[in-house]
Amino acid sequence: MTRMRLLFILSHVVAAIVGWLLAGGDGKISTAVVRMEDRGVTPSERRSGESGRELVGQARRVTESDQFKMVWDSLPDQRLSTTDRIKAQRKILEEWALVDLEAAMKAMLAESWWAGPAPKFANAQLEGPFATAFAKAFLLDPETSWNLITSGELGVGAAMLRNAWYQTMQSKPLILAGKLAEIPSSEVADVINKLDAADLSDPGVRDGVVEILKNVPMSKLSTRVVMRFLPELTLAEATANFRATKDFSTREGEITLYQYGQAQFFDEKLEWVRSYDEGKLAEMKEVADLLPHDTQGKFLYGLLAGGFQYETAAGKSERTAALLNLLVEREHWGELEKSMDLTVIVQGYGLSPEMRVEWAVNLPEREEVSEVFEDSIRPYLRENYNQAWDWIQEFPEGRWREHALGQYANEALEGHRNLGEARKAIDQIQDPKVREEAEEKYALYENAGR
Amino acid sequence: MLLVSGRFRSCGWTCEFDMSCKVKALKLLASHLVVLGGAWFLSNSMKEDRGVGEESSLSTRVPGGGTDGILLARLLEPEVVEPSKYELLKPQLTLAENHQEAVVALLKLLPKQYLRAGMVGRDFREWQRLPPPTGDRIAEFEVRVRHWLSDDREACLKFLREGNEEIYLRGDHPVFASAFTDYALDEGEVDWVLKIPGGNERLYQGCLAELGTAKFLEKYGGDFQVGKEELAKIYRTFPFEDRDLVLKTIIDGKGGGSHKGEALSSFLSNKDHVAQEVTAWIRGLQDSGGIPAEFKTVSDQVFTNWLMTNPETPLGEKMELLQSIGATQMTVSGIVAQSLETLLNEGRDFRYEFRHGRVDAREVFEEMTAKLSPDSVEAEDALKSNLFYQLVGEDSIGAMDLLATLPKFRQEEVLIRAIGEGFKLDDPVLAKAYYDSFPESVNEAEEMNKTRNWDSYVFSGLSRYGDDFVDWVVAMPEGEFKERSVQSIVKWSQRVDSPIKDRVEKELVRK
Repeated sequence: MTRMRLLFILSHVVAAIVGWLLAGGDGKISTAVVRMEDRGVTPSERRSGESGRELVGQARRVTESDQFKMVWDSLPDQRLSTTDRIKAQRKILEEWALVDLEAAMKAMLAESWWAGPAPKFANAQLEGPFATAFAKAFLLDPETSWNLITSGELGVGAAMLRNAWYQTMQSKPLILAGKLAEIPSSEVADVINKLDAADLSDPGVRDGVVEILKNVPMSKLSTRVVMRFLPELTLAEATANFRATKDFSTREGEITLYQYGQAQFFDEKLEWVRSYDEGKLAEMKEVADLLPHDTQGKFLYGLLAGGFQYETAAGKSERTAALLNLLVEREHWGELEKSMDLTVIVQGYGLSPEMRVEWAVNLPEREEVSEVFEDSIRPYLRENYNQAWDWIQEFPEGRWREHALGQYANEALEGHRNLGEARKAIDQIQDPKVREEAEEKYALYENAGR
Repeated sequence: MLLVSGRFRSCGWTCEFDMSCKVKALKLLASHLVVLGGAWFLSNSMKEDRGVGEESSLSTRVPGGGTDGILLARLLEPEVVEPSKYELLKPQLTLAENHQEAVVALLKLLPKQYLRAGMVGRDFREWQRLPPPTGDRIAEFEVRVRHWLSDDREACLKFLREGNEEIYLRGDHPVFASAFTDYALDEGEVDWVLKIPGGNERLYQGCLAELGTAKFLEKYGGDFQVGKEELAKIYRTFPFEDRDLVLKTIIDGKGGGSHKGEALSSFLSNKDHVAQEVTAWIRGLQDSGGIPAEFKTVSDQVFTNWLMTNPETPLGEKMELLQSIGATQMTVSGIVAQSLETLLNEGRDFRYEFRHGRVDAREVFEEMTAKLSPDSVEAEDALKSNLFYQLVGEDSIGAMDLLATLPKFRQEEVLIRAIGEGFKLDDPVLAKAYYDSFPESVNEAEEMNKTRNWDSYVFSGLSRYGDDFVDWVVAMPEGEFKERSVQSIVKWSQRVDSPIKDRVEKELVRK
């Protein structure tokens, strides 16, 4: 073949390639960037020699993104039903996001955020109808998508995308946990629950997650929550750690403390709880007294929260009663107030209504424990409504008498629809706050009866 | 351009610029253009050939240069139902040597919500910490159970329900809907499986296909006891002509009222039934007193729900029938609202088309009027106001047309109520723009009304957008609207226990 002939053929081959490229080719070159991301190669890892291709890819992505936009914009002409429309939009967004995530997100946010008549996908209340359609794109490049979501440019609707991002990243617990320090406090509990349900069977992943959790500020993530991800220690191990720790105010210190408390209960087959006696109470007091006041409160609260279910499983309530008394004795009012959030309170601390009311009326008359008091006398009032008026009249003047009258009025309204009895009690209340609350409730029932 | 340069140089190949050279050059250019064009054409036509099925080919085109029809067609295609992991694994997995051992090995790895654990202490906590099972593990468990059933079904059932002291299955475990159903249908053992709680719709469908309506109803249709929830759903498939038999079977059936109600409601929900015929049937039953007193409360409730939500019964007839059933608390507006919502949810998506300007409010109103037949001024006004609530979040200006013919006092009421009713979870920017369009309140009642409705919007916004919603309010310029929004957030935070409380306290209240 002559040189001229070879050049002739080559120049035509070049023309063919140019023609092919002009038409957009077969998609292989233009989608090279996307395919690389499929394999988990992030843009910074790409070799510089590929930058030309990348440019072609970027130019092409714009074209593909435009095509999705055209389809998106033409959808109202299809006269679909609501369910089919949302389904079609989700499919468009799913593929569009792989080509141009930002454009897809903005298109979604410009659409109605109502989740449709019967959403089949999880948690549409939080994520809206579309945000979970981005799952594939989020997995492809978690960081870029997170940065886009949190850029502040997407407005209030970004919350839906953030929630969908958490849901997607449950399969990548390390990445999910890594965002805990920066997310809004109101979303921490949700992310923790997702981590808790995630696959942490790989010890490397579990340890990594635990390390991240420990480093989240304690004000944002309590040690009690971190404990859910930690291995349990034997009593001997926990005791050794406890004795070796000096400062219980740090994250590690709190963990040691909780593990020590936990080990007390998690003895094999609940032997410790079953063999509860005064001696154990003395030991518990002794340990508590080793601790500074703040930490001591946390410790006792931890015992109350942690031990309750095991104790009731063993048919015991003395220990809970002893702990409550210790909280009172050592003046941990905040912890006592907080105990209202525990299932302990829902189940009446495992105490009978009589025992509970006896304990409650002897509580010091303090604002912080008012709710505990009210909650404790309520079941008693319900069961002994007919004798309750006389019983309350024997109360000495003071805070508990006021609250007892308030609860009596409440029971008269809620349990007996008796406006007269309620009025009789309210008229005796002197505390303005308790009275206002009771009057509000009274007005509600009075209006409802009209 | 090269051609006019006087000399033609290409790849080191030169010639003097004479006529023959000119012709050669033109031929050469033409041939290059042909190749280039050919490649362009080939590339495009290949893409069109690739068409619908191929995922990566997104650059399809449509003659006329309009929207991308093929891409759209592909995206609108109904989803293909993939075979389940169980179905895929079933022919592959060889029989285990010992069924029980194979099942036990998998049992603890199943989703915990379906297992009951009798274990205590450390065992229980360690079990709780096991990672969630993968779909493959669940499928493997189901296939193992399926194998065991073929071999010794009684032993298998006994073991799963009670044979393991520490851990056993709840009756609603999905294995009863997969492996057990599969066994029943493969081996014609429907009778045996139906005695086990947890049968699924597929099982009943298979059974129904085998027996036909009458025999099915006679044999199985009358058992509404606990654990037969799925049975109620099967009633959707019975034809309307069997209505009397169906109703009799339900009334005479064993078991609880709620499942009976569900069965009746499922029967009515069959989309093949003609609404007019169903309405006439209900009327006939009311007039003839053909329903025994002990079932009447249940049936009245089911008929009321059906009438309320079914958009095809004319409003006047609906109202009259509801009153004869005793549903006297129903208002015209409430009935219109329910029927309208069903119509918009299940029919053509007018809300969406309206948002994008494909139909205007008048057209939607006319469509709805034709469907719902409001037969009084009250009903027509109710349709206008309820349709306004449905459309205002999509395009508040476009929706205004609907209000023009309402009495003046109703207009104001509807306008304000639409903040809470119409925007629901929509973009707060839209909701605020709508709110801003109101003139200043003329009296206290109007002001209170605005506050109440804005509260209602803020409450729903906070529950979805959380901190972002608070951020949005914090970033508002100081003024009356911001104060109002802060007040709404404070009210919410007093009712709902959320970490947002602290923020409200620090950033909004103490400021």
